[in-house]
Amino acid sequence: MSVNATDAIPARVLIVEDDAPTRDALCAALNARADIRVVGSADSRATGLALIAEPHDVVLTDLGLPDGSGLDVVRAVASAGRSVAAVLSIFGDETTVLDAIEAGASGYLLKDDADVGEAVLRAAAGESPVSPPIAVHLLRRLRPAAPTDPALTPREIELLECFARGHSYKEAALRLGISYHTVTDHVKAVYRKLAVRSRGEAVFAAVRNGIIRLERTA
Amino acid sequence: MRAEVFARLRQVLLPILLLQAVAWGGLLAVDGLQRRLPQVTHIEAQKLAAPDPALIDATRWQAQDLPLRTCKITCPDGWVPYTVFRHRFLHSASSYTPLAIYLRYVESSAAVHLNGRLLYTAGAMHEPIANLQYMPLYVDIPAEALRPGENELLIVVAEEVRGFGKLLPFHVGAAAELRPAWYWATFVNQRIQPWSTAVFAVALLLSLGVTIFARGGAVFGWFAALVTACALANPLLWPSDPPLPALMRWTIYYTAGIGILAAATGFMTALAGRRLGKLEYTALVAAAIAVLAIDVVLANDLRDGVFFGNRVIRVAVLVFAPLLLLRLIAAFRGQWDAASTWGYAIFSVTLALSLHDVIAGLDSGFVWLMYTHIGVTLLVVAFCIVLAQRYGHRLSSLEASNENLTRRIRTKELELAQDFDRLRALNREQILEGERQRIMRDMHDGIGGRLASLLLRLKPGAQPVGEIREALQESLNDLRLIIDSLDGAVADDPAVALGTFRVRVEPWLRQHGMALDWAVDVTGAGGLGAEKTLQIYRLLQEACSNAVRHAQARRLGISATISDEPRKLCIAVVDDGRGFATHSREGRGLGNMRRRAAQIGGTLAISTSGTGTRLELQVPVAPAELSVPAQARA
Repeated sequence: MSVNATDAIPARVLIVEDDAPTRDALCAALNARADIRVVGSADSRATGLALIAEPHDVVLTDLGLPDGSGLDVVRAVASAGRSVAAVLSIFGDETTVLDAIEAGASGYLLKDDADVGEAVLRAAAGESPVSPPIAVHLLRRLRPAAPTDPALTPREIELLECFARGHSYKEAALRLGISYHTVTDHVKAVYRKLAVRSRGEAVFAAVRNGIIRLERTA
Repeated sequence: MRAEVFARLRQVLLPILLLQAVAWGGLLAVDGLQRRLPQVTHIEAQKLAAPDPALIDATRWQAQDLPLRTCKITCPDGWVPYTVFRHRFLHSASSYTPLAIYLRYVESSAAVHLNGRLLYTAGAMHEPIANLQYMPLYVDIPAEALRPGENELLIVVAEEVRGFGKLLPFHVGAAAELRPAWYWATFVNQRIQPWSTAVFAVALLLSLGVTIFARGGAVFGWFAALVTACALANPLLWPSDPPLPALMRWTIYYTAGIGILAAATGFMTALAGRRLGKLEYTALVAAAIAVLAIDVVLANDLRDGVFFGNRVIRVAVLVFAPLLLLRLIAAFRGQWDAASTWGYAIFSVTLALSLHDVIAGLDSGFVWLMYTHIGVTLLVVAFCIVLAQRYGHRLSSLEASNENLTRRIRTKELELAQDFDRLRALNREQILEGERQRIMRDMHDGIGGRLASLLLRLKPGAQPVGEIREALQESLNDLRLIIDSLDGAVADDPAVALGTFRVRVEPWLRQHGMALDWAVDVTGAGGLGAEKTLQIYRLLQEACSNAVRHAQARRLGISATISDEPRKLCIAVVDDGRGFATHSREGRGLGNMRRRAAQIGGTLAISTSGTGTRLELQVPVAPAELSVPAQARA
C-alpha cells in the first residue's frame, strides 16, 4: 500500500497515543494538512486494537501504552495487511525501531519531528530515516543468514553500509547510482525480511519450547 | 589379635570340618572297596640286567609261549633293565567266572604274560622311552589262556622309573570286581585330566585378565604363573599322550612341576600380603637351578634325566612344602583374608587328598599322586571364584569411588561456576555501576543543567516561549546524544558514530536555515567507546550551537579523517559566520570544549576570524583490528 501525498483523497490516519496533549497536538498538526485526515484516535492498547477495525490507510501508534505495548497494535495492523503501521518514537533508537519493524511496522517518526505530517507520509511509504546504528544492526541481524533465510542482497548490504555512515536516502541513491524510489524499495524489502525473519525465529522458538506442535502428515 | 584369630578359626572351622568329613569319608570308602578286592599276596620278583632276546623281540614283546621258569633275558645295548614279577595261582575249570588282572599302577612300559602267552603290552623296553607315566593296568584274562590247575602270571615292567623297586599289591580275580576299581583309578588319574587342563586354562585367562587389565597385583600375577605351570604339566596325564618327542615331554614335565612349587610359593607369599623375602628368593633361585640341572641331564641322557628329575622333584617337594605351609598360615593370619571360609575349606580338602596319597604310598615306599591332581584343580576353581568375587567387589568399589569422585568433581565444578558467575556478576556490576555513574554525570551536566535553568527562567507573566522551546529541544537532543553514544554500533565504529551525529544534527541545522557540508571518511579506525563518543558529540553539538546562535553562519562543514602515526581521529568543524572574540562569552565556552577534548586525551585547535571559525579536534584512536567491543569497556 502506498500513500501518495499528491492523491486527491487524503490519507486516513488512526492515532493510538495515551498522552492527551501529544495526541491533540498530533491530530492538529496532521489535520492541518490537506492530504492527511485523522479519522480516529485511541488512548490505550485495547481501544487501539478495536479502533483499527475502522477503515484507514495508516495507523500511528505509541509503544508505551497504559495497558500494554503498541507493538500489539502494529502486529494486528500488519497481519491484516490492508494498511501500514508507523510507530511514534521519542529517540528513534535502535531498540524501539527494530522492535517495531520486526512487529511489521513500515517505519517510525520522532514525536518532536518538525514536520510531523511529512514524517507520517514518509513512514507510511517506508521512507523512515535509517539511522546509522539501525543500519548496523540490520546488517548484523540479517547478514549471517543461512541459505534458507531471507538474507540480504549485495545491493541491500551496500545500501545499509551507506546508511551506517550517516548518508541520507538521496546521497545513498547517488552513490549507488540508483533512483530514490529504488532506495525506498530496498529499505522496505529489508524491513520485510527482518519481520519475516523475526516471525520465523518466533515460530522456531515456539516449536522448540513446545508451544506449537507441528503435525506430521503421513 | 588372638581373639580375632580364634573368631576367624571358629568361622572357618565348620566348613573345614564339614568338607574334611566328606573328603575322608569318600576316600576311606574307596580304600575299603579297594581292600576288599581279591589281592595277590605272593609274588616272586626278579631283577634282570639283560633281557633275553628269546623273550622279547627287537622292539616289542610278542605273543609267544614262555618257558615258565626261565626269566633270564639278555638285553641288547640301549635297553632298559626291567623286572619280572611272577605269580602262580590255581584255577578250577569247573567254577569259571571271567577273570582279570588289575594293577593300581605300573609304568607305561609293561607286559603281562599268562602261561607264556602275552596278554598285555605297552610302551617299549628300549630307548627312547616314549611314555613313562604311571597308569593303572587292567587286563581281562581270556578263558582259553587259563589252564586247569596251576597258572603262571608274569608281569614285566621297566624298572627304572619306579625308583623304589616295589610294585603295589596287584589283583587277580573276578573281572566284575576289578573292572570298576580300575575304571575309578583311570577316571581319577586320566579321564578327568583334560577337564582340569581346561580349568587351568580358564583360570589362567581370568588371572591374566585381572593382572593386565585391572592391575590385580602380585596375588593374581602369581596365580597366573601357578595355573600356567599346572596347565603345562597336566597334559602329560591325559589318557592319550600328547604328540611330543620324549625329551620335550619330560623337560616340560619337570620344568612345570618345579614351576608349580615355585609359583605356589610366590602366590602364597602374596596371599599373605607380604613381599618376597630372602627365603623365597633363595627357594626360587634354587628351583630355577634345579630345573636347569634336570634339563641338562635330560638332554644328555633321557633315562638318567628322568631318574634325576624324579629325585629332584622329591627333594623340592620336601623343601617347598614347609615353606608353603608357613605362608598359608601367614595368609590366614594376614591381611589377605581369602574372602571365603570355603576357600580355606577347599584348601583343606586338597591337603587331605595329598595326605591320603602320601599315606597310600607308605606301604609301597612310593608316593603316587592319585588324588592330589583333583585337589589342585579344586583349589584353582575355588581361588577363581574368590578372585571373581574379589575382582567383582573391587570393580564395584571402584565404580562407587569413581561415582563418588565424579559427584565431587561435579559439586566442585558447580561451586567454581557459581564463584565465577558471582565474580563475573560482581565485575559486571562494577562496570555497570561505573557506567551508571557516568551516565548520571552526563545527564546531570547536560539535561539536568538545562532543565534547571529552564525552570529558573519560567517566571509568572513572562513566558519566553521561543527560549524555552529551544532549551527543551536542546535537552531532548542531548538525551538523544547520550542514548546514541550508548549504542554498541556507535561505540564500536567512529564512522557510525559520526554518521549518527549527522542524522541528529542535520535536520536541526536545516531548521535554522543552515546547510551542512559533510565530508567524513574515517574507515579503519577502532571504536571510540561510549564515553569518548559522547564527549565528541557534545563538543560537536556545542560547536554547531555556537555557529547557529552566535556566528550567524549559513553553512557549516564537518569533515573527519583518520591520520596515521600516531593514529588519530581528526574532526574539523568550519562555519562561514562572523567569528568571535576569544575573551567573549563564546570564548569562555571554548574553554569548556577544550576541557572536554583534554578529558578524552585529545586536543582542540581553534582559529576564528570575521569570516568564519574553524575548530579542529584530534583524538587518538585504536586501529580497527585492535578495537575492543564496546561491552568490554568500562
